[in-house]
Amino acid sequence: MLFNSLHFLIFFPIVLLIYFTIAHKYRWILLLLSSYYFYMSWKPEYIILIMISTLIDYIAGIQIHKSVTKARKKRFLILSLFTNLGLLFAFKYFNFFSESTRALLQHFAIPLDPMTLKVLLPVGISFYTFQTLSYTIDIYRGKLKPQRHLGIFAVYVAFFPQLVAGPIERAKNLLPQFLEKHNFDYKRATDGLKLMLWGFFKKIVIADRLAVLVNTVYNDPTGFTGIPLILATVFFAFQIYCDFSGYSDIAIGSAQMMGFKLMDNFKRPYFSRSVSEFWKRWHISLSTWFRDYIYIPLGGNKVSKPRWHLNIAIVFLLSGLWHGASWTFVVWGAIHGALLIFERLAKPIKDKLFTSTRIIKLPKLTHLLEIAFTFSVVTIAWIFFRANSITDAWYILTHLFTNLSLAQLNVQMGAKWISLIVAVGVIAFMELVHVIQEHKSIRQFMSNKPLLLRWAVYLAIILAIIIFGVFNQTPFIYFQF
Amino acid sequence: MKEHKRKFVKRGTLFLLITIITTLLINQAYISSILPQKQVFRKEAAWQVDKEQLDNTLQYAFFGDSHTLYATNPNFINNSYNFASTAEGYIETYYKVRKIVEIDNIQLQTIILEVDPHTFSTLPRANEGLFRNLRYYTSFIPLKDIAKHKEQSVISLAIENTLPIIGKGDEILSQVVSSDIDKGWIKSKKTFEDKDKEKIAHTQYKRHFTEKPQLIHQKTFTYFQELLKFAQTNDINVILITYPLSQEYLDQLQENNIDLDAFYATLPSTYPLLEYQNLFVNNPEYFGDADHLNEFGAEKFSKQLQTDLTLS
Repeated sequence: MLFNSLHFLIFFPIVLLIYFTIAHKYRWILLLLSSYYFYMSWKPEYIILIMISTLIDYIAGIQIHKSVTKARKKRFLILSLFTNLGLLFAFKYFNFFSESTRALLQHFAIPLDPMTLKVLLPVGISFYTFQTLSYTIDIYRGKLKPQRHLGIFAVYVAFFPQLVAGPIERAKNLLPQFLEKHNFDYKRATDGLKLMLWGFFKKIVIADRLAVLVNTVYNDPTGFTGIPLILATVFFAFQIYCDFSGYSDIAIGSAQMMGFKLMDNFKRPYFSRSVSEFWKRWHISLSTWFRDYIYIPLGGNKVSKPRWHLNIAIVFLLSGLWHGASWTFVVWGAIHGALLIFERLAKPIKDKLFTSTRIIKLPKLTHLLEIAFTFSVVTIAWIFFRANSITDAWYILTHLFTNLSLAQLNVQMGAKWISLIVAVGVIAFMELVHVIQEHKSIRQFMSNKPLLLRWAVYLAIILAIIIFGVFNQTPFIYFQF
Repeated sequence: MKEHKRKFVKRGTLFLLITIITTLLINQAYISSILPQKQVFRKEAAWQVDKEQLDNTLQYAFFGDSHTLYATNPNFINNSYNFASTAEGYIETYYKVRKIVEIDNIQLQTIILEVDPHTFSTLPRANEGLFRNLRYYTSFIPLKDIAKHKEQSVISLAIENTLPIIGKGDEILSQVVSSDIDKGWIKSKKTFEDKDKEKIAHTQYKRHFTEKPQLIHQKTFTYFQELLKFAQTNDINVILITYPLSQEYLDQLQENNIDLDAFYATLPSTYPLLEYQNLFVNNPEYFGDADHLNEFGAEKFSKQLQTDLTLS
């Protein structure tokens, strides 16, 4: 079920109404049934995968905790890792590795026709796999006690607001919340609604609108040069942000209405002054997951410099691969890893340059330059993320600045001028909101205003969604991961 | 908690009411002032006036998409009318012909049907593009039939039909261009020869064909056949026609290995086929873009067509 569908607009109020009507002790049943229904409305049979993960991790969690010897604990941890990563590999990566092996052997003139699986990628598998893995790993590390109520644990794995595209929650944060009794709270509910509204605006008005323009160029890049390529790439940077953060906002908002607090997933990432800051603001639940379960166990930065750089490279290659079973994602991850290493190596030079040119005395200009540079490199890396193949990405990269002509730009992009103007306008509006948010919470900002003005703003956003929204029910980009 | 719930329900209901009323008001303003300015509604209004002067019989009725719409000027063809509309496929045309015959009570003598290379192509015939001007089509096709064709729920279509304002922001801002309608023909004042012709042709080609072009969209073809059957049952003659294309557009077809011979071999051979694809390959001045004639091209072409129809 898509958040941006009529189905969800009917489903969610019903769930909410029942949730606050029934007694607390039955709420987990409602959440579990509604979560399974939510997932099954896409492809019913794939619920079995979630059930397998749930059962294995439930048993593994209890057994790890119960086990006295380290070896036995490890055995159950391996069982959990093997099951979850095995399912992930089979459904997401098997064909990629199979195809890559065939291509590699073909390069050496060794003919091979390896097996490929004819399976659909289960929506959200990367998300719930990582969420359940963190549960068993945390128990193994002694940071968490297992949940003995199978039903509540199953809700933790399948909680519908964040099941298919995160935020990837930690058991420590989310599990206890299913045991708490949530009374209806007016402020919490309206705050949740406002966040959902903002998420819908980002998804339906910005992301899906930009998708049309981006797809025209990226599905046939060789037909374009210069400005359309630059514009489509910049538009994609905002499309993916609005698509994914829009999803997160709707997820966090809908959970909040029911009384749950999910972790923040985005903090205006395009205001980052460095790539490392970007990763503290972008898909926070995933980057902290990689930090806690891969980077730190590898030694983090408490190792020799070359090893530290290797750790960064490993984490970002894995992060790229997590996003998709394609070389374009691996290259995207590699670029981010390389940028982070370069940033650390180049920091003394940058500081010296800023001091010698006295730019440092103009902090606002310094910030602006850093933001612009970070946005540029992150956007260039997005080319690999969005392109349909490495060849396409390379073509786009090498033709960004050729034939820089604005003539017939709208015709070139297969759009009317007004669509381009509205696209730029809605991005500008969102960034204006972000500028306010950088200084104070938008809720705080709005709460000082008279009720009439607040309602006028909310009404304007709803009308903007109705009138300027693109209602072709485009799935969220991150569903494919 | 009850206090919170009460406040939420009270304020929520009030806000919802304000939202619904505002939306309905804006929607009504859109329906009464902007929607009638749209080409398809203006064409229909003009047709309702024009048909009164027809004596219930029409010798030549042209159907198709924008190729037909811009190319055929009925002022140069005796007792003819241009019923084409942009992005129209044969599912829509089938219902349209039936409406003209069964509801408008017009005896059509000959229908001239467009069979250009993209006419049955899968890309422009995707479900979401079907019945684009929903309110126009629901005036003579049951909603459930449209829902079946679009593979969409009747509820969501009913909402779309009642609230046509949904997603029409760009249209409101850009203002509907009120081009002249003359017996269904739209005059294109655009020029092609002074533009980057290859690029425009490429863009247009990409709108018509997918990466691996499939020239026959089965459902569209089925309705094309249904239309031929309907014509036969109602004693209506059928002529198939291809419209002039620019050299650059034809080059795109060739570069992408579109096998036109194979495509035309699939069409029923029992009907005459008038081929004009190559008529203006050396006359870019007759085109508004890579595959649409401008007003000068339309005049030249329509005169030629009148001659050929008379001869045939």
